[in-house]
Amino acid sequence: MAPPGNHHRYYPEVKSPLRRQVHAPSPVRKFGLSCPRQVVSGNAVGVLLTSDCNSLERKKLDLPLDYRTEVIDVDEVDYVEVISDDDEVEIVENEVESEKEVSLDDVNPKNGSFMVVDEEAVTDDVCSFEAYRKALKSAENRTSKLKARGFGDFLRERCRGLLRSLRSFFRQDEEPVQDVRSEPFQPLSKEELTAVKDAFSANFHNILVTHENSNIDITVEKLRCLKPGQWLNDEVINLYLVLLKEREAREPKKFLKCHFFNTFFFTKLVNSATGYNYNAVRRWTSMKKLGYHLIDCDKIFIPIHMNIHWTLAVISIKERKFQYLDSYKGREPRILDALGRYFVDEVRDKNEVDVDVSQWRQEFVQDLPEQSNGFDCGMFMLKYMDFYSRGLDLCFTEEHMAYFRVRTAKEILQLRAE
Amino acid sequence: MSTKPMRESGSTSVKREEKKAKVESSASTHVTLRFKGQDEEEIKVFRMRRNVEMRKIMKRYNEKRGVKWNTFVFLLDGKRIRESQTPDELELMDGDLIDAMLRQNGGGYGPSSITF
Repeated sequence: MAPPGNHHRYYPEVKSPLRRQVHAPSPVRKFGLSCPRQVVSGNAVGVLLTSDCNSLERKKLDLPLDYRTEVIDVDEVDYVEVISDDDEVEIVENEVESEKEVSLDDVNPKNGSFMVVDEEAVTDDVCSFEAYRKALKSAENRTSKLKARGFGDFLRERCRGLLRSLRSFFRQDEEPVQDVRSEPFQPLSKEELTAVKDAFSANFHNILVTHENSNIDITVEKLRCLKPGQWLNDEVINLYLVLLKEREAREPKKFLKCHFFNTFFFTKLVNSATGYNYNAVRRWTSMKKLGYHLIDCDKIFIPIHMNIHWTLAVISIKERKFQYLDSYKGREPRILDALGRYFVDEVRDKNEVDVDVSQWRQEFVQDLPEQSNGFDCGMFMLKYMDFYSRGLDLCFTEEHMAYFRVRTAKEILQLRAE
Repeated sequence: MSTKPMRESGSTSVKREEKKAKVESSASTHVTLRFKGQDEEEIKVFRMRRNVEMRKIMKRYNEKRGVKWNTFVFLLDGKRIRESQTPDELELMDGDLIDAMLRQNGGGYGPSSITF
């Protein structure tokens, strides 16, 4: 099991974060850096960009290797979750962007402001990535602590790490001290283990538990899908998702505000007969049913069932991105396209507001625990959701699957997810 | 199947003439429900008593589709329907659409079955 409080990542593979040359800065997320349309003064970077950057739509900035591999500890806080930045954020686009490498001759760094002069042709390219890269280099020499990351995303991750540690710091006064990262790995008691074992071996058709609100009955037959090597079925998965939501309702401060769609949702939203069909699911998310609107959530989880494989899609509203998690690292951009469309339709229908997701990112998460066997993908999917809804990174591996199966069986028998 | 008006296709034994009067006379005792299968376009229409368990209509649907019992999961606006519930308990209204979904299993990698 992963030791708590360990600041290193647990993933079996560490991939080189860079695969491409340096390109243009990415568009603004939150901290107003490198925005294509605004004049920005980035405090972290200490660089003033000019406003002639309209051509830079959705380009990604790859910093040189020395920036990416560096890790910063935020000083004043004791417990910090160190977030290394080897998330490979992939922007899925149809058109190929041709980057021009424009060499800069006149560069005048002056007290943090940076004006670019270039006699040659394309002025809007010049004031962009090349200038930016040079500015970063010079800024790094000037600023010590902030070290000129220049990433809105990265700063946001830092702040989230800080917030999380602050949250756990304050929580220590109210509740017994418990490292939040060890909670998903709490071992079962002897009684619990026995209960699970008995449940697995009872009469096939016995109903073990009934969940009233969701109308899901779990028979012995259904629960046995949690035995090692077995494929997970929709009852167990959907009930677990309901339990995750109930968990959040019990302790809303401890978990992100999430919505968990059941496994049938995406099948109804997109199918071979009708293609994309918003009306088929329009009534699934009424205020009367949910008590909230989707747009008020932090994350929306959509389990995807593909024939014999389970994957996960996430609409991360606060971070303005669509994520796709596949324990086999497959990619399905059309799924994220459909979900983007769904989100727009849904917000228009329920909130009567037009939301623009064209600037949102599509991320095919590469930095996740991978599956090498042929039967655990359902459990991987459940655990992606479990950890994300806790606000944790995916600090588990395939070796934990056996434990997770037993733990999930216990939680289902108790009708309570911890 | 040819495209017939929805109400005409797959009805149980109710005479067509009676249907027109049904709204007034039997609205309180019966309810007309539409069933849409995940894997087909056509909608099947059934009519049943309000105080009878859904089990009965689910069985009829399975028979109509030529599959064995328990092949489908039935959803109303995303929520599962229990076979012991009645239309009254579920507060079903005439014309409500019930989704018949195939059960789902998974664990390994296979060809994507989602077509867009």
